Amino acid sequence: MLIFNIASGNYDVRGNTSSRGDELDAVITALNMLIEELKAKNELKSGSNN
Amino acid sequence: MNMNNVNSRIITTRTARQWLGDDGIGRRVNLPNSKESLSDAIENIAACAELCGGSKTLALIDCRGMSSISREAREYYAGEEASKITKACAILVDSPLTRLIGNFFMRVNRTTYPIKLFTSEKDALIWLRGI
Repeated sequence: MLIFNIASGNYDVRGNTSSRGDELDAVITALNMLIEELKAKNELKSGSNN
Repeated sequence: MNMNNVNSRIITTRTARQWLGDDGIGRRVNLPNSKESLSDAIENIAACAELCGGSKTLALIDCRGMSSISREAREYYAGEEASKITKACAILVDSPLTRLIGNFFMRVNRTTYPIKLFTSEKDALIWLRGI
């Protein structure tokens, strides 16, 4: 499940959306965008620690 | 979006249709279920720059057809290249999904130009003309 992957630091997963553009698609898209932000910040942090 | 007042050629990219209105406001309409990547953002900004001759222009962006946008694309739209040609930007949204994308962009990717979400094209144009 998407939320468990985020919590465990797996930022390579993405949720699938439908073409409806409804509330559920909005939540999944929000999580996908959050994952992208966390992944980028995590990579930046890893790079600065090396 | 109303296409009666077209004052330029229309450029269609992989994800959007763009033109300059006879009121000097640039229009971009996302194609249905468009998913924007960085290369799409670069292509769209280049098309916009071509239409407005590289000068700063008011922009009305109809995102109602958009289904997703990558982080890199959002950064590009908020970045230097877009800022060079954008005086202010009104974004048209409708569904919960497009509202989310618009709000996420506004709150996470801080633009140097004024930006606001609208559900009405008329209200968006009034706001842009007041800039």
